Amino acid sequence: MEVKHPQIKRIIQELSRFLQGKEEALRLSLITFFSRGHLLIEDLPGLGKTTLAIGLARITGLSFGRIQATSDLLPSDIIGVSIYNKETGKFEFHKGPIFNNIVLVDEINRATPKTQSALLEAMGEKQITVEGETYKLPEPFFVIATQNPVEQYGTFPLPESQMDRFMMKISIGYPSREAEREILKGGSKREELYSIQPIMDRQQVLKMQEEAEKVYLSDKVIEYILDIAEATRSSKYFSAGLSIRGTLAIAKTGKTNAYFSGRDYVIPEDIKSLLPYTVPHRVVLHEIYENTDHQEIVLSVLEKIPVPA
Amino acid sequence: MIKLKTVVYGITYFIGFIGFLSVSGHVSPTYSAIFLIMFFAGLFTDWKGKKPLPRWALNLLSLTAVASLFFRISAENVVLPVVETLLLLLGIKLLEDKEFRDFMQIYTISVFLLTGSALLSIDISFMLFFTVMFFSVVVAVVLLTYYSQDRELAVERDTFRKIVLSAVLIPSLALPLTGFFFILLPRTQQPLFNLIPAEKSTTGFSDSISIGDVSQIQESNETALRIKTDRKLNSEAYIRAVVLNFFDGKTWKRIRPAGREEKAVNLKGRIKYTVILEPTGSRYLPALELPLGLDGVRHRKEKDFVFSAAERIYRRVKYTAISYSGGKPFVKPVNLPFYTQLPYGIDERIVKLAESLKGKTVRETVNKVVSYLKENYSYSLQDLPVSEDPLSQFLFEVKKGNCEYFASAGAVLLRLNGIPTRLVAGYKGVVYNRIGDYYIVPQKYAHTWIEVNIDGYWERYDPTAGSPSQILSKGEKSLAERLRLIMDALEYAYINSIINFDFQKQVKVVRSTVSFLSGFRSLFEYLKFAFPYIAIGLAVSIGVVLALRELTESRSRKVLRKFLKKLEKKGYKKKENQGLEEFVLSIPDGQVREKALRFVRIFESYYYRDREIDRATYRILLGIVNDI
Repeated sequence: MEVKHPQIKRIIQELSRFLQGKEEALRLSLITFFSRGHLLIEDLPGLGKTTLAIGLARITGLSFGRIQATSDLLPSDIIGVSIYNKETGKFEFHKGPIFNNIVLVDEINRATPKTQSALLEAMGEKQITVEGETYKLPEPFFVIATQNPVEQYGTFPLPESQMDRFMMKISIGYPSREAEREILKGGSKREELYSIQPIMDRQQVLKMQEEAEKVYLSDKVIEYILDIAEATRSSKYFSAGLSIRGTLAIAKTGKTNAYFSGRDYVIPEDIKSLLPYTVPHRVVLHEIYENTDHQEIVLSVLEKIPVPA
Repeated sequence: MIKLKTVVYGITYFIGFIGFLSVSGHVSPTYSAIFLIMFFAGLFTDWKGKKPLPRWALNLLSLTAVASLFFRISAENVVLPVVETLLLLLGIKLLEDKEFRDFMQIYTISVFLLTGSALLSIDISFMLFFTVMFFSVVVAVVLLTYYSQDRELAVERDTFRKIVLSAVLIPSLALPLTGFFFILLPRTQQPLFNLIPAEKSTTGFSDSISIGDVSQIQESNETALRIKTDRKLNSEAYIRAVVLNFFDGKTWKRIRPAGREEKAVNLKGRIKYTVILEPTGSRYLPALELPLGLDGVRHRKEKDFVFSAAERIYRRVKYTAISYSGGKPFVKPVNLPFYTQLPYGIDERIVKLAESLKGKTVRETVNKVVSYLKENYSYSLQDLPVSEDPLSQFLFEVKKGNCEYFASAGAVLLRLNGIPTRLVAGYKGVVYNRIGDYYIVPQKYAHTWIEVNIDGYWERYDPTAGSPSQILSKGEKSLAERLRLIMDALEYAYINSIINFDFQKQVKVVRSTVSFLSGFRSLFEYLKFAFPYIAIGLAVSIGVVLALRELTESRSRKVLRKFLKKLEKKGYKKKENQGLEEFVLSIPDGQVREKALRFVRIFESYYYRDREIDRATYRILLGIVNDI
């Protein structure tokens, strides 16, 4: 879908200098971001996940934190620790990297389940309680987690219930030949990435998130979303269908999608075009279908749902 | 908590049963039994929540029931077969798995049954059934609206009472008004729907014309006959209906013409045409001057070129005829005493006048008489002389009259001079109906003239000062007149397509079809008869459906339907799972795509905002659709 919102358009233009040919991935990330959701990128290493996260942080003028997940990563490494201060005689809380606006969690499936759930809980609640004290996470708060689908040894794949907490799951994929040629000619632009001038500030981001939220969602489109949920729940292929969080995510991303297209109402296509990113990671296939392509089956089920018009 | 589903089903079966009760005394026990079986089967299956019979089978059954109606209906017995068929349809509906529309259909059929019972007999029980039916249908429809929103809706007892009470309010207010109108409006003794064409008031020519008679006809605006021909007719054409040959002083009569057979001579200006004659009550078949032959109605041609049908004409007839506009009857020798007959005691003044108009030759006398009448008397339809001797009064006192006075005065004056003369009654003049491409002869063009025998040739003379068609056709181009022509053209089209089949005859055909179904011929006849009815029925029902859709559909649905239909015509069909924009963007033709996209953008901005499209936007959207 064509992006018509002027500022979003500029962001995509600016960042695609660093992510040649990946406008679609950029757009999807931005939709998630402005829908106040979190993003899961399932991809091989070295395809620009970090670039995407840093670029997003820079251009919106937000703070950026990075967590490299390993099997010995502890929850306190993410959240922060209380350290005894000799001078005051009190414990002082030292905030971890999660207290940033945009947090990149690299290879989240390498972290132990304990650490994973600490992180995911923080994502869901948008606040952290340590030793009886509650700390609010900054606003906006956007987590980009990445997952390496190939390496399985020594990893802890995210359980389905945890996947549900991500609004969208995307993959960036290999660049096209032309794009890669351009990349090779230009060399690494990592240095340049850090010098991007922000084109908006925190206030503006919050305002745009609010505006996206206010996009009108017609009863007809709501019925359509309910049909989608119904289809996943009653399908013989799935042992678990969409959760309520799932339908909410569909509605929210649909609104933001409409907002990006310069509309103040949602059309079914807003919803439909995002289904490949909002639904597949939330439904659980029956054991017998486990070896088939997950996304394929989900889309074949959703494809048949009549669109209201 | 009260479950609306139970209430709606209960009240629906109740309504159906009331419908049945209202007619149960009239329909045959077989139908009652069949209905009751279906009724209880429907009740039972609904109770169990299982509907074993598929919808298509029931639809087929309904069609069969309706088709069988064609075989049972007759002119004398219309209502009962219809009622019985309705009863069957009601039973089938009750058997069906019920959607919103099925409930509505059940209510409608029940109301029809009640109406049908009123046609069969009306007594106090009707009032009772009517009241019960009225209340229950209104309540049912209100509850049904709730039910159709949510099948499993259950409401508190209190809420339910409120709903029912407010629903009951409608008929409670309406019923007293109904009663008021029932008393106020005149009730007819005659059946409202008379399918058998009634006899028309007869205004044609009979065997005799009392002087002044035609004036009644001449003020009538009705159509007397219609003529269809590919030739152009003279707008002053004479149409011969009957020849009157005997005068008794007040009345011209027709008695069987005596003398030799008359021949037609001077056969010029042949014209073949079709006549559609309105009922006249007499036997005579009018035809253009001078008619030689006639076909299509059983008739007899008389010596003086008068065609009389075997039976008096009480319904429309259609016949073809051949005439020669220049033709003249010829007979030699003419029966002189017969055509110079006069009553005894003719006024002396008339005899003197006749003498004074005598010329040297027969032709001169005729010319003198005709021009005397034309010059000294004036045409009028009002204040006509009526007395014991209307002719003298016309000639010497009033000096004005209609064609009959002129013609009979002329005939009497000529007969007094010993010249064989007879009166011809018919019509003068035709009106061309451009819309239907045929000629109308209105009753008001009725006319009378004379035929004078000179040397064996019967020659036409018209002594009337000014012809009725000239006098009466002043307002011809008025709007009302034009409207009348349009209406007449419609009637003409209607007559033309079914004139050969009057209802009685058709019913006979159907009957014979039923009894000799093996006969291919009669089946064909039946189809020939049934086709227009089926076609009209279909057209009407399609029209009603379209009109209903037009009326009930929201603007956005309507315009979207038109849009999708238009694109479908172009070969682009939207799949069910495609969004509008998605669909439109998939159109390969750039021009169509652009226009369609423009439509979709406007449409969506209303539709997905849950706003109804306003009139102006609707027009814009329609414009785009038409433009595609």
